[in-house]
Amino acid sequence: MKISKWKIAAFLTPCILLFSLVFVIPMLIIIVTSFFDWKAGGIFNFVGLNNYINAFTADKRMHQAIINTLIWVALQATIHVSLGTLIAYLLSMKVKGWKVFRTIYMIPNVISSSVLAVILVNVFRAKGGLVNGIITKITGTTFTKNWFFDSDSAFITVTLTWLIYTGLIVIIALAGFMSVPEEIIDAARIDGASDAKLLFRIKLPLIRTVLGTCVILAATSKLTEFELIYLTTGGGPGDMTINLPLYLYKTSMIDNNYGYASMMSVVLVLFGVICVFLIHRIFRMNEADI
Amino acid sequence: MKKALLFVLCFVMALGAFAAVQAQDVVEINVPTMRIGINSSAEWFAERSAAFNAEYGDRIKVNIEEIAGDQNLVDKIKVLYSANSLPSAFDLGGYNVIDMMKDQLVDLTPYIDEETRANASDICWEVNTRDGKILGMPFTRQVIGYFYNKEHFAAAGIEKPAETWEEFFEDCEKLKAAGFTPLSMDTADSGWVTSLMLGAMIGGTDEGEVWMNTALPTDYNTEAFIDAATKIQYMFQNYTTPDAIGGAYEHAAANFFIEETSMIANGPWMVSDFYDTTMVDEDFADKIGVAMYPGAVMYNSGKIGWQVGAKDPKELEAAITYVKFMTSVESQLKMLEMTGDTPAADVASDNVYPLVNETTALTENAKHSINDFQSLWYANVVDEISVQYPLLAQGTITPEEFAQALTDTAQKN
Repeated sequence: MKISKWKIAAFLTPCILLFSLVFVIPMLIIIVTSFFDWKAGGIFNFVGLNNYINAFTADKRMHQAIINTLIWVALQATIHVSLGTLIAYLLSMKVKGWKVFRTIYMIPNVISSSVLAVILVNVFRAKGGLVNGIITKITGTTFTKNWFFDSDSAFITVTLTWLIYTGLIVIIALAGFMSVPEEIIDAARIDGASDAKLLFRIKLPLIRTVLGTCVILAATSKLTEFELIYLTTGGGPGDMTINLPLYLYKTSMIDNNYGYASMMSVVLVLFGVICVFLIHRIFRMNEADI
Repeated sequence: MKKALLFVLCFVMALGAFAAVQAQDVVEINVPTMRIGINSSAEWFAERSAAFNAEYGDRIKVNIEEIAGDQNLVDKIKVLYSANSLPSAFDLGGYNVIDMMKDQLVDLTPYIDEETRANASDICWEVNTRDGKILGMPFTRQVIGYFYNKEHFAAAGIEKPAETWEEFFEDCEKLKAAGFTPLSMDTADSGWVTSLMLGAMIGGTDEGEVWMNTALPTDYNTEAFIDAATKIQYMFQNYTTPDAIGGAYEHAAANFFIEETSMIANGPWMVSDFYDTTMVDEDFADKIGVAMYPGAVMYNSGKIGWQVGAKDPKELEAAITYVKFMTSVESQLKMLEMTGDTPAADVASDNVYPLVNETTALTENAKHSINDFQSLWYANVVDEISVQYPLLAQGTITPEEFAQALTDTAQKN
């Protein structure tokens, strides 16, 4: 059946209009205002690239926010996805109780970030925190490390609030492992492939695009991370755990410097686009194997 | 049958038209508030709202938007301001947005008659006035000293609260030697408790008093400020609990309530908690005393009050009526009795906890009266304190660097 172009256009128009209204137009506004000195109190002056130049040359907090964001993106795209894939692989062997483990492991991903943040704040509290309590029990001496606010532990503690919770990656990668055709596995076994060879030569290459999707989801999640940092350290101590979304929020809502915040939004969107483009290239996402 | 249906239809339509006419007479105003849930003045707000509805409900409908958390409300108001759509009326518990929003706030001067003016002392009106225009209607005053545990003091051999900062630190040593943690401190949410101590240290001289009463300071590189920051750093490192760094007011208060710490800086609105046996032991309130800061310093100032953003004349009239009601002497007395917050008017009540009146009485002997940082400093500086305090506490930055960081932040405005 041939559908006329008019009908296709008619069905697509509402969607395109809605998309333009809630995404394209605001995005254009953000791009335009990023070239303005726009602050509360009616200040609105064109400043060209000044916001961008200031951000990349003089603003130390911006530099720290970019560095932290990129480190977290990299960690999430590598360690987080690797860990999730490893667990998914182990689960795909269907050892006893794998379904229960899969469900339990998913819990941190299905509760709200604010609840998770409150739990973790209490886990890592200096006084009465679970971690310090365990260390105190083991060593026999009172241990009161302030995990979230000591300069030497703040970054790693914040990182731990998401790095090890790979439930979403596990679910996606597990589906990928399960979708590898049994005939291919059987054929490889007949040819004498070991479990390790099966994994690295057959299964992982075959779920390459699935893993690419996992990496995109994981990496971009750190470009938008806000709640867990805001609710645990607020970006501190100092600027040690600040990232771009949090700095953007502070610039907009506390400094009321909307032009500068728009510039950060543009930078963040660019990072996202570059990130997705690179991952697409690395994982050859447009070439299907299965 | 048809006739009956027609009759019912006509009746319903007439009823609808009548209701619509009636509804037109009722003016609606929008009032966002953070005085809900566990907020110490939630009960007061609910009682006053009910009283307002009983008196004006046939003419004015108040649409209350409940927003949990002071900072969330402040953020919401800023967003509304940037969209040029401030709510009909709002108060932010003393948080200063007047300087930022003075171009959109209604000048209340024409609505302040003699009777209304008598509802607050001159100092309260001054805090709410910019360029001769009254932009906020005051209803409470800021009176803050610090509370101390008399039992701890007695056990440590301290006879009375310190009169100088040297004595204060000696007392801290005595408390520490007696096995108590001397101070409740915090760093989160602008480090309210800690910053009160910081301000009191700065305000201990005539020059410091002037500085602490200066709106929107942009230079923190003063000798008094750096000296105070040095003392605060020492306090963090020697006299407080491990959870002070990163902790919020709630943690500081909890440490005082469970008698782990001996002193906490805060205002009389905290007193009602001293009697709340869900938080403290039954005889806790009897153990608590209140004092001026060393150098006879007290926070004693006006506080930013209710502001009006209504634009439509009818809405504006209704908003003024509402704000006048919420700031009336009756409302202030209710506030005093229900929360311990000091009225803007020169009124007192016997129906309050003794510590509340004792706190207010201390102002009479204060040599230096100062305003608090949240009312006077730029919002981004108030936020920056929380960022920098942990570094100062750990010695990662010096007091000079702390002062410079706040200066840099203030100069972004």
